[in-house]
Amino acid sequence: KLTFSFYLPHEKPYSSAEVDMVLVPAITGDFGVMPGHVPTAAQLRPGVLTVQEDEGTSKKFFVSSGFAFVHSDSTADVCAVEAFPVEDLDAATVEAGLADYTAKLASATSGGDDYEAAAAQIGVEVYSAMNAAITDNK
Amino acid sequence: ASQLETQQKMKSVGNIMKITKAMKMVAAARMKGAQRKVEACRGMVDPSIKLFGDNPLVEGKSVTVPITSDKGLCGGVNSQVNRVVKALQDVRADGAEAPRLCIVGDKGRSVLTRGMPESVDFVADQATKQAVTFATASAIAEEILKTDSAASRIVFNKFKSAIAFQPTVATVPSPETIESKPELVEKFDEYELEGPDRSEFLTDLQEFNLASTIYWGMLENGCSEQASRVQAMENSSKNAEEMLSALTIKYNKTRQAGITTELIEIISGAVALEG
Amino acid sequence: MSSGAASAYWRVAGMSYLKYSNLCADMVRAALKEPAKSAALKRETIFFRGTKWAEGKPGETVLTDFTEHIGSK
Repeated sequence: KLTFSFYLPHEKPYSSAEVDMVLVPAITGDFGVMPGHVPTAAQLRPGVLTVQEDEGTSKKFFVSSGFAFVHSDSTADVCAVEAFPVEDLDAATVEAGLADYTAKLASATSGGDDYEAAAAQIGVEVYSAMNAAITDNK
Repeated sequence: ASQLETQQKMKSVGNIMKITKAMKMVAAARMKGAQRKVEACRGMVDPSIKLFGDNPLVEGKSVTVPITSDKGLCGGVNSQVNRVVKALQDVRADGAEAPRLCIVGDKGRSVLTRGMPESVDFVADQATKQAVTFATASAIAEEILKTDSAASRIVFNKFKSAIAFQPTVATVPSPETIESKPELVEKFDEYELEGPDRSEFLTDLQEFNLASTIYWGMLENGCSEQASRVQAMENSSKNAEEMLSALTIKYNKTRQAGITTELIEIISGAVALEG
Repeated sequence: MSSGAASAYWRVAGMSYLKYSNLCADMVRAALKEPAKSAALKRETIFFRGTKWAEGKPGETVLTDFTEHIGSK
């Protein structure tokens, strides 16, 4: 088993819990962590963190950003600013938000405002990821 | 006249006692809420401590971040922090500059900006007027990052129990500091990196850790502040109670004396009439 | 800072990791269903009074107050 801790500033969804596997959304792509995984430090992208608690139960969280650390003693720690069960995301809001940020990105890019463009780009990234998470969860 | 005076004193001591008892109850309720928040956030910084350890001595410029309360009447919490800050100012690696100061909380501000104004770069206060959030801690962290220091040392009181808190120093090293220490580089080299390139990864992680540590420190210190206030108000109530009982005895004695004198006058008057 | 080649777009645009990270968090909170949303939005509050000091003297004091901040949209 893997000893898994999941830290948010306001909550601890997992605290040294024994789980089978954790699927981590790193910037460079998803990777699964099982006992004996090579030590890894990963930066997270907005995406879905899946915790396979045991054979029957797995939980999916949407994480906003953060870091994951896999240590050599089969412990894994994930720190994020926000994380919610994927079911808590509102499909209609996500869809509207994605359209909204896509439009904002287009206008900010043509307007030449780098900061606004980056903020809109983050919006597109976060909302696309949430959109995909909702679709996958159906 | 002295009887009236005693009565007035009793009244004011009684009023003080009512206030200190109410403050104690409020602080006790706030401590419960604060304790829940502290327990929820503890552990946030542990993964990085596992990675980089807790390295107290740093060459080069460092910044000390004392976390203090905005309100008073809370016993020794703030003086504990201010004492540690002064010690950090004196105890440092050979050749290291005196640490800069970024102060959180009004009570740290009032003491430290008077004691060492030249060292102060930034003061953030009144944050405890609202519930402290990670977003607030992040905004304060951004200001501290502007000092461009080799390490940030967050000083706060760690909450242990309703009757105990411990001055604590949590160090967040800069990426350059990590890369300059062979033992840290060796430790970090064991880890495969998934993310941006190494220097950017460390920069991002330092920012995140700094905000997390400040958030954690603010919650710990806020909880210690309430615990300390409960004790302080308990002691004040006890003192007021003792004073009140001493005054009551004095009042009764003078009243008794007054009655006795009156009685003697009446009796001797009656005796005189009879005679 | 040795290889500036692969810097994240938000950093190039002048954002810190904390700005980026909190912005992502705001965006996720804005997309929640109730009651999770109302509880989460309280965590967007930013409140403190900041004063820069230089050469032993305080400069201007700035109040940062995002207490009525609702979502990021």
